[in-house]
Order: sequence, then structure tokens, then C-alpha cells
Amino acid sequence: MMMRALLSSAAVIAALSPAWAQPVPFDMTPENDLVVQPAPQAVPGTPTVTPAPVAAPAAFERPILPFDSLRLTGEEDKHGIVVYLTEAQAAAPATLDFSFINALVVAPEISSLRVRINNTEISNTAIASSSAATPVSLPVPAGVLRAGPNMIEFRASQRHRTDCTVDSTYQLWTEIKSTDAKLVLAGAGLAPIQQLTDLAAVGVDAQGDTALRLITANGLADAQAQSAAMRIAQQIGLSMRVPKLDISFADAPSEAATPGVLDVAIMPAAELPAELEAARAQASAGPIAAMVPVATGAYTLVISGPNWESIARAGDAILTAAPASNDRPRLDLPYPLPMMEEGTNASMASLGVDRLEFNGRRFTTTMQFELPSDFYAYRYGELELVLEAAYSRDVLPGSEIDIYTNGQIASATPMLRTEGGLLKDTRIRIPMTNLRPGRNEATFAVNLQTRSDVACGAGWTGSAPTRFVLSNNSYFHMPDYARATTVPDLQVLTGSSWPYVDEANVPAAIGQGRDTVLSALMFATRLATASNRMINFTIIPEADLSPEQDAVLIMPTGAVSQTNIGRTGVAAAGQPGAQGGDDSLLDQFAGGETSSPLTNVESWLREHLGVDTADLRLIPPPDTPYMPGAEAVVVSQTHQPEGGVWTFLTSTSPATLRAGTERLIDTVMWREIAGRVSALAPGDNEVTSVPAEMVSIVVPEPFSPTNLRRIAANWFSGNILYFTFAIVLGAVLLMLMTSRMLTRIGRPS
Amino acid sequence: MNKALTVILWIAISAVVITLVTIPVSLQTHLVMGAVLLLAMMVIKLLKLEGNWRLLLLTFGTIIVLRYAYWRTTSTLPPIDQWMDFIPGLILYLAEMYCILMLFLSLFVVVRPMPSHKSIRLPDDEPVPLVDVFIPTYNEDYELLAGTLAAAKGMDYPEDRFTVWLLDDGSTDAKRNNPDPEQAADAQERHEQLKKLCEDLGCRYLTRARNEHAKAGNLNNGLANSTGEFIAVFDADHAPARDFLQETVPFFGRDNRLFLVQTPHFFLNPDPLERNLRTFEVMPSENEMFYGVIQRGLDRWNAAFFCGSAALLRREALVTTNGFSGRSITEDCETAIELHSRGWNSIYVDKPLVAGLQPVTFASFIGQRTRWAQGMMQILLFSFPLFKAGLNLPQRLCYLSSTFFWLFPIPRMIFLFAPFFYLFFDLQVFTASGGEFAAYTLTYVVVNLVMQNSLFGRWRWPWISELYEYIQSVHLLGALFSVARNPYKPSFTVTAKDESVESSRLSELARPFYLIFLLLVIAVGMTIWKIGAQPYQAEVTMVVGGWNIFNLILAGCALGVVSERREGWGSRRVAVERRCEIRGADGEWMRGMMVNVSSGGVAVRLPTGAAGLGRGMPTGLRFTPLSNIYGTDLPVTIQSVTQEGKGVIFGCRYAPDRGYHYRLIADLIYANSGNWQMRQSARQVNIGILRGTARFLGIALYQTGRGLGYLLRFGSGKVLGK
Repeated sequence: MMMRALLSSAAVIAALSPAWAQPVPFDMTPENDLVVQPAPQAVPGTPTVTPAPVAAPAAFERPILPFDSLRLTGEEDKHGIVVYLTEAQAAAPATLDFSFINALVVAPEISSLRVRINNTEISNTAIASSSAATPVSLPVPAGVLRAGPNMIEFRASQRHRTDCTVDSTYQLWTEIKSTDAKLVLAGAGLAPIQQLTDLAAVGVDAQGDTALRLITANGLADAQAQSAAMRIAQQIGLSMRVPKLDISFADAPSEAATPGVLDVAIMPAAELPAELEAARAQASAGPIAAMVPVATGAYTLVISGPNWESIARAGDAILTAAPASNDRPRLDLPYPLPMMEEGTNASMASLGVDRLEFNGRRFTTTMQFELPSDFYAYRYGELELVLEAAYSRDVLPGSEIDIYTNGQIASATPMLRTEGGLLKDTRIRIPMTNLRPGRNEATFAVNLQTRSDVACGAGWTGSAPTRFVLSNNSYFHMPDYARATTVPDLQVLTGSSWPYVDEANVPAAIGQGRDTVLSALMFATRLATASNRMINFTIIPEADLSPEQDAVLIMPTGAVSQTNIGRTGVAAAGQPGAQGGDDSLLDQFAGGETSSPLTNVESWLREHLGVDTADLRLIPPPDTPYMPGAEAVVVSQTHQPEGGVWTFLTSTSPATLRAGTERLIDTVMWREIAGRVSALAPGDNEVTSVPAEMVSIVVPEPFSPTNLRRIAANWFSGNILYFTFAIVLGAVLLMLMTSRMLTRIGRPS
Repeated sequence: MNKALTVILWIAISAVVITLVTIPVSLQTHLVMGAVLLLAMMVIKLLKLEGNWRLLLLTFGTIIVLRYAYWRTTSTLPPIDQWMDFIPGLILYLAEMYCILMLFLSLFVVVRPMPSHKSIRLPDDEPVPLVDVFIPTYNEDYELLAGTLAAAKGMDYPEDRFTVWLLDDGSTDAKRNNPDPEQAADAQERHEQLKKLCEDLGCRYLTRARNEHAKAGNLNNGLANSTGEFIAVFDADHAPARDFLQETVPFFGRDNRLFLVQTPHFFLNPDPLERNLRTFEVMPSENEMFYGVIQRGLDRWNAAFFCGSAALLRREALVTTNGFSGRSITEDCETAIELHSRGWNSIYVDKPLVAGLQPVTFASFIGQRTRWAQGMMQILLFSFPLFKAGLNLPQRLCYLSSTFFWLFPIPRMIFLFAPFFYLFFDLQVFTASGGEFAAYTLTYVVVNLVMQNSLFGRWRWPWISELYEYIQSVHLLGALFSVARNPYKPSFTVTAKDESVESSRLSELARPFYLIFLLLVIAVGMTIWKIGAQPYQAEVTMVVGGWNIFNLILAGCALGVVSERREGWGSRRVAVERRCEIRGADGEWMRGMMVNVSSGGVAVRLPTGAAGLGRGMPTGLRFTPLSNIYGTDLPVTIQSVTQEGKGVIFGCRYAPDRGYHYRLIADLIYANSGNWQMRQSARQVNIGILRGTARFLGIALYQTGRGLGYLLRFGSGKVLGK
């Protein structure tokens, strides 16, 4: 009833405002999505439209984890996820069901698992489930859930049964499987999603995945359709707030409303199938993007219009209704993700860290922040952590605070005072070596060796007094850093979608066949969800690619024309002089045993002085075309001499391209993509990447001398001999000039 | 290319280099760059390349030092809000920056020292100018003055064109009328003796009513009573060589605006450090660095300054400043800066033309240095050279360098005590990792050594500067603060130079050196304890402890300096070869050869045998003097007889009783300035950094032992008690 009223009111508004029928207006307010929804009165009396679920289930289950499983490790850990709910779902009585299993060594009496929803603690259970998974069913108090994003957080506090060492803390874990973790909403009619705003409520399936089923007329065979689909897929990915979308073509609509599955019909009004008849009238009049109720209840998004041109514009309403914004976090990124501009501070509190009073041995907490695409200070710069912390006199020297950036150790600060210490405004300098454009993770870890742990009496692991406190007023300080972008650098692409993201029109050439198109759609969507921005792709024939322009090329290697293959950085089969392929396989035994004096010097330099011999090169070797292994999916970026930055996604065949792309867009793999070429073979568990030797640096406008100086610092730090030469040259010039000057000033000899 | 364009281009290139140097590249980049430059510097040094190569070495060094300064400034200071760390950290930082500033100033000064000026002669057709020779005295004894007056009188210059004046401040009217009858009598006696001496030697005697404005006042009194075109000034203990006026007067003819020709001070006796460390014969003296290279460097910038003695000045110039300036207690430098600022010029003639004495005991050495340091501080306070109107920029920098130098006691003491902040109080005054310390600080220290060695290697062995600075700093620090408190307070004290150390003893100023040594030993103990007890910060402890051990070596060496060796006065001999005749017991004159002379006596070789002469016998010596002297026989007493083959060598002691006897002695000792130059250049050898360091360590080890030994033997009353 209520829905019907809502729709009618929307229809009234629509009728009153003829401007809305025009193609442009989708960027106004979030309510606009109502406008482009099909007005039921446009097809009055049509029985198929009536949302009358006959056998409505008494409860609706929403899987919640956007990944396989959730593992809480160490003495203190937390993990949050985001679940989007519709208004009806939020209002329904809910229980949170999950099951967990933990390591045998976790002491149950002093270890607990707490669950918080929207910062309200709803449970605190002992961790005593080492033999088999224990199911937990937690009623969610009324009023805790709300429409839109809800953060569900699991916090484990685990202590070892017997051991008081730092090492023993690595044995502590609790695991929650995604198959059992769900929100059970009681009541009927909770499944439907009627507004684009709620698109993210489609959520994930029991495996943590989200699937997009494309219902199209002809499999997006023509360029116009592909262009539109590229836009729409990105827009859907962004508004669903998922890290990645599995996209496939569907011949038939889904049979029921399934969490994590969204049917998307993209086609001109004329071709809409019978079950979507309801939308046809409006679609014939203008662009439409709407959740259309279908008999099965399946989540069905219709994006249509009189022609492909209007379809391409129709999708804009999705982002208008459900934008990617800070208050609508991605499902897997519940904690704040601020952009660290030059000279900014970010307190631990603002990064989602709580004040800490800790009585264990090892504490870690991970924070994240974003860096712009032209962050270029990874070789010379230092990030600062200004620490407000203290430790008791129980703490022994040998304890230390470690900072990891993106999983790599970046700084280790020993705690030296023996009679307890106040770390007030202590500045820890963190080399920015592993930071990158886009999202970054920084882990704060403290290892505590204490006098009392040496004795380690029974039950001591849990009853020890607080020995370390950390104020969340501690903050990261980002210094002024160089702003420039290197090309080619796939990390810049996967982190921030540069250079395509800011361009009005990015030509993309996509190969023939559905698998290739799907690969393109998934890749584009992953780029969008990584950078939170949409790229304006235009599909063009491969022959029309222009080397002056930034472009994307997605097709099997064999399908690329002779003219363009040389521009992709990837070798066609049988091309001589290529690197990669099985070389790495064959090389795996080389090097280890035979050590020439030169390699000894190299390793000594690296280990003792941190000097990488690659930074000592004068002329980098040329970037020879990469020969991919069979069936591997390859991403390659090249900087054309004419100026364009080309990104090439390829594999041997369309099928392997699609399969590889599906694996590649997984967050773990995605973040491993780097260098000028990254490849993932079917058997690999890691992405292989080839660093770029010949890189160009793109300096942003406006030109500033201070920025140039910082760019020079970063560049020289990777080209050490050039710095030395520059200094020597400067010195020689200065000497000659001084010598000349000395003959002219002062008393002549 | 004209001068302005050259300077502008130089500034432009410097700006580019400074921009390059201050690029915040990674530690590894700095390390590789530093290693390459250091290697290049060492190659240039080992191959002994000169000219532009030397300049390149200095440029490379400058770049490393600048990078260190940049890094030190931007990344190593403790945070301000941790004031316990910050304040000592800042003090240490400022001390280091002072050292870097001084390095660059001295680099500027000595970047291309003037080569020796060629001797020139007065044109034959021009009249020989009139010269007044001033020998100011305050309390020097008769013998010394007699020697100096005699030497002055013996100078090679037309006799009627120069007058030697003894300016006696020791028997002024005020002193002779002292209410204390005993002192009045002494002054009266001195007055009469010296007057008589002057009459004997043909010199003029002048005294005045009251002792106003110390030495400057005395000289001005001389000016008022004389008329010569030029004024030569010799300290009472500085006897000029015969050719002094020949080598200096002609320069004034070339330049009408020349107010000063300064010549080096050459010393016949060692300073206390050289005497107690026994380095006088082998190592360049402390002052040789100043006179051998710094004055020559200053001369390049027309900033060689008056050093109080061994100089010739133009009366016309002195008149413009109403004579010698007397505001500070270093009237010499003050006079020079005033005249330079009025557009007058100076030159420095790098040839020893006077032979003098330096303080014998450590206490009088410190007394002399206190006067210099305080006087230079007064100049710094009264007329800050950098902003002194009338000076050109190079002159400003030169005077800044000369005066700022005397601030050295402050950083020296800071470096001495800085390790204690960490070792005793656990303060972190220098925030850097071990890697950063190695990459920046170590390269800086090595580069600093190489640069110093390249600039001053011939005149100063490694670590000796540090030792001199340290031994002076302990007592000079207080003196500097006292000037800062009251710039008008310090008064002129005359340095005693005719003392002797009759028996081995500890200097009366020795106590603080032993206390500091003790503290440093305790700090070494603390280092060892810390390494054992806090293995997790052993790296830092070892770096700081190593620094402390360096201080300990320096302080141990200084113990040797304050342990005064017994040494009779006048034992420094100068080798000569000069014919003479000696009167035998029978009154016959026999031919012999003088083999060496000293200020106390002469050694004569007689090839034929002793001729009946024996120890203690008075006899006579005659020889042809180089200057025109009325008599030629010099009474001596035989002090020793040594057999040498068939012949003998007599050690004779002078027994002068007539005025011209002193002239004969002077003729013997001071006749030949070439002799002194040879002696100087014999020890001006650059022994290199490694050998110099090894040698220094050897000396330090031995002197520490000797110092401790002296403490046990003589220290009971002096150091440990009151």
C-alpha cells in the first residue's frame, strides 16, 4: 500500500514537471531517481506490474560478508563490514547469525568476541569454539539498524592459554565463515528494492560476491551499446558500493530476489521483453533507469530509452541516486578513508582507531588513507606519526613500535627507557617507500616485552595490568610531497584510474565476442570502484585508436592489428626479443647457487646501505615487449611517443581473458598490479609484474618551483648517479667560475 | 668578461649548486654521492694536484659540508616541546654551525693566499725616507732590551735616516714618584740604567708622565715626539734582522695609500705546548699557520692586519686616526681595521724579519691568549666588522673571520661536554638513525679533515688545532664571558716572556685539566656500563662513547701540556757557520769557527786544541760584524769544553758589559733572517692525515702518562689540595 502511494506521488511530480522528461537532468538531488522510475499510471491496470508476492517468506536472509571468510588474529583485532538496508529492512526485527571457530590455544575465559552494529555493542561472547564452529544468533535491538549503510564490526580480544611471548600471539585466531554470516530479517515483503538509492541493498551472496546479470538484446554487439554498458556497469558498481562486480550475460531473468544478484536489462525500449513491459512506455519517451518490480521478485534494474544514446545517459540517474561518497562506504571498507593532501594531519581517531589500554604482548591496528594519483614521493619522503602513548615500568627495552605501510615494514622504533616512558609528541618517521596513489594501509604495531611476562604465571596472559596506552589523538602528518605521475605505472591506474579518470572521452577498443566485452566491463568497473570515479569510455574500432590520445585496448593478443601490437608493450606470439613468458619459470634455479663477486657487492650494498643497484644505472635497459605465458591475463601500460597513455588488457583467447579478468579484479590481486606489465596465469596465486625502465614523468599544472624541487628529489633518489653527476658538474662549473673570479677580484699576485 | 659579470655569473652558479645541494634526496643517494666526491677528493690529495684541482677539492668538500648543514638543520633537531632534549640539542647545533661558518670564512680567506712579495729596492735617485723605530717596554729587563736595541741599531739602513726609540713605560714620572718608596726607587734605577744604555747604543730614550692607554698610549707618545715618515714597531723581545728596513720601506714608495707592511713573528723559543710535548724542532709552530697562510690569505683581500710588532707603518695614516687606537686591548688589530675602513691599504711580507720570544710557561701563554681573545671580542662588540662602514665586502669577511675565530672556546667546551648529555642524563640531543649518522656525519667529519689538511696541512698537523683550542678554551671561556658582561673591563696586561722553568712542575693552571680528564674517564666507564646494561642501544652508545674517547685523548694530551718540563732559558740554538777568533789562555788570538749561537751564548770549534782554555775561564771572541759596529771583541765565559777529534768545542756564555757588546751579540743572533726561514721551512711539511693522526695518538698516549706521573710527583699541593 505504502509503496503504491509513494509511486503515485512520484508520478504526480513527474507529470507536473515536463523538464524531467528531457535527457539531461539527472544530476540534481538524490530524490531524482524517483523521477525516472516508471510511473505505474503510465501503464495503468497492467497486472504484471503489481508487486504482489504470493508466497512471501516469513523471513529474509541477507549474507553480510563481502569476502569468503573473516579472520581475526592476534590479541586484539577488529574487522568491520558495511551492509546496506532498505528502509523496510532496517525497520524489521533482525537477528545477526554467524558461526565461528577459533584456535585451540585461545584461552576461553579471558578471550571474547564482541559484535557491534553501528557502534552499539550487541554481544560479548567468550571465544570457546576450538573444536567445531559454534553458531551464534544475536537479536539486534530495535532501532540499531537504519536505512542505508550499517556498520557491523567484529572485535576479538584473544589471549593465549599458556604462553606469554610475542610469538605466541601469532597463534591466536578466530574465523567467521561468510556462508553462515547473515542478517535475518523477520517479516514479509522485505526483499524488494524499489529505489535506485537502495541499489547497494542488493548486497552480496553467501560467498561474498556480487553478480551483475546483463539482459541484453544482442549481447552488446555494437559499439554504441558497448559504450553505454561501460558507463552503466561502472555506475552500478559505484552505487552498489562493492569492490568488484562479476558480470555475465543472462539469457533469462533470475527466478527470485537473491541477495548479491542484480539483473540489469540494458536495451532500447522497443526491445524490452514482455516481463518488463511496464517500463516500455516511459522508456520510449526518454531515458529511464529504474528498479522494476517483476513477478519473480528478482532484483531487476531496467536501463532503457528510445535509443542507445539515451540509454547511455539513463545510467547517470544511478549515481545521482546512490553516489559514491564518504558517508556511503564501500562494503569492505567501513572505516574512514581520508585523502591525505600535502601538509595534512589525520588523527588516529579520525582513522577509526579507539583509545587503547592494552595489557597484552602485541597490538596491531590498521588504518587507511588515500593519496592522489600524482603522489610522487615514494623514494625520498617521510610520513610522520606523532605519537601520544605511554608504557609502564613493566615494559622492557627490546619492545618496539613498528609501522607497516601496505604490508611492508617501514619503521621500527625501540622503546628505550627502562622505568616506563611517556611518548608525548614522539615523532616516528616513516619512509613513504611503499605508499602509492589511491588507497593505502598503514599498520601500527607494538611488541611488548615485559618483566612479568618472563615469569608468565598461570592465567597471567589475561590478568596482567595495563602496560601500554595509546591515545587516538596521535596523528599522522603528511609532509608536502612531490606531485607528479610516472608513466607507465599500473599502480597509478589501479589505485586512481589516472590518466583516464579526468578525461571527457576515453577511446576504448574492445575485441569481438561476449567474453571480451564482459572482461572490458569488469575491468572498467573495477577501475571505477577502486578510484570511486567513473571513466567516460567511448568504444571505437581498434583501427581508429590514435597514439596521441590516452586509450584502453581490451582484446586477445592475436586480435590486435599489426600496427597496434607494437604499441602495447606485449609481444605477439613468436615475436623475437620479448621478455617474460616461461623465462621466469626456467630462471627459478639460476642465481641462487652461483654468486659472482658482482652479485655479492650488489647484495652487500642492498643489505647494509639500502642502495639498490637498479638506482645506480645510467641508461636503463629498453622495455622490451613482454611475452605472456599461455592463458595468462596481462595488463600492460605504454606511453606512446606521440603522447597517449595506452592500457592493454589481454590474454590468449576471449575465454582466458574473461576468466583471468575475473580473478584479477579480486582486491588482493588488484592491489598487486604494478609496473608496466602485470600478468596472472591460471595457476598463479600472485600477480607477476615487470617494472618500467623507461618512465616519463608528467608534471601537473600549474608549474611550481617547489614542486619541481620535490620531483627532482624523488627522481634523483632513483637515479643516484645522475644526482652525483649533477653535483659534480655543478661543482666543476662553480670551481671554474670561482677560479675565474679569483683572478679578477682581490689583490693580483 | 668584466668583473661585475663574472661575479653575477658566479652568484648564479652558486645558486644553482645550492639548489641542487638542498634537494631532499634519499639517504642512499646522499651516501653514494658523498662517497664519490670523497673518493675524488682523496685522489686529488694523493696525487698532490694543485691549482684548479685544489679548488675542485675544496668545492667538493664545500658541497658535502653544505649537505650536512642542510640535513643537520632540517632533520636532526629534537622537537621544541621536549625542551630537555631541545635546549642542549640546539646548543650543540649552534656550535656545529659556528664551526661550519668558520670553515667557510677561512676557506674564503685562504682560498688563494698571496705568494711572497718580491723584495724591491729604493730607487737610487729618491731620498731615503726617515724612519722612527719604536721599542715600547713596560717591565722587560735590561739584558733583553739591550739585545733588542742593539739589533735595531744594527739594521742595514743609512744611519742618519733612522732613529731607534726606547719607549719606556716602566719608569714614567708617575712610577718614579710612586708613594711606595721602594717601587719609586726601582723605577728610578731602571730609568737611569736604560737611559745610559740608550746613550751607549746611540738610541733615544723616551718616557712619559703617566701610563695612560697602555701600549697604544706609549706608542702615541712616541709619535708625538718624533717626526719620521715611517714608524717601525718592535716589541721589546722582538729583535729585528739586519734587513728589516730594506725589506719593508721600499713598498711604501709603490703605494701612497699603504699604511702597513706587516712581517711575521718568528720565535726562537718554543711555546709551552711545543716545549712540553717536545715538538718544537719537528712540527710547525702554532703561529706559523697564522703567519704562514692566514696573513697571506688576508693580504689577498687587502686585510692583513697589524700584529703589534714587526711592522712598518706610515705616520701620515696614523695621524688620521689620532695615532694608535686604544679602545680595545688589542690596539694593533683595532688600528688596522680603522685605517682599512678609511681606505688605507696594507701588505704582508712573508719573510721572518724579527726573532722573538714567546711565553715560556703555560700560565703566561694563557695570559697572552686571554688578552688576544678579549681584545678581539672588544673589536667584535665595538665595531662589528660585518657592518663596519668603509670596509669592502672581502675585508668585512676577513675581519669577521679574524674576530669570530676567538669564539672557539665556546664550541670547544660544548663538544667536550655534549656526550655527557647522553651518557649521564640519557638525553637525545641529536635525532638520527645509525645509518643517517654514518652517511652524513661521518662523511662530514672526514671531509672536514681533508679540507683542513688541504688548506693548512703544511702549517698545521691533524688534531693539533683541536689540542691548542682545547688547552686555551678551559681558561678562555670565562674570559670571553667577562668581556661580554663588561666590554670595557679588560685591561692590558704585559705578557712575561723571559721566564724560565727551573724545575719540572705542574702549571698553576693545571687543576681544571685534571678534573676534566677525570670526568671523561668516568664517562668512559659509563659508556662501558651502558653497553653492557643496555645492549639494545649499544649502537648509539658506541658512537657517543667514541666521541667521548676522542675528547679523552685530547684531554690526556693536554695533561702533558700543563706538566711543565724543566728547561733552562736560552738553550735554543741556531746553527751558523761563521769565522771568528778566540783569545787563548796566553792572550794569543786563535782562528776558530762559530757553529751555533743562541741568545745566551755561542759554541766555537777550535780545530787545534783547547789552547789552555778550560771551564769557567773568561776570555774574548772577535769576529767581523755585518753591520758597522765600533768594537769587535766580545767578552765570553767558557761554560763547557767538548773534545771533537783533535779539536774542541767551547760552549761560551756572553759576558757583555758595554753597549756595543750587545750589538755584537745581536749581530750574531739576528744577522741573517734567511737562517730563520730555513729553520721554519724544515718543519713545514704536510705529514698527511693518517700519519698525523697516528703521530698524534702516540703523543697523546705518552703525554697522558707523563701528565699523570707529574700529578703523582708534584700534584699533592697544587691540584688536589688548595
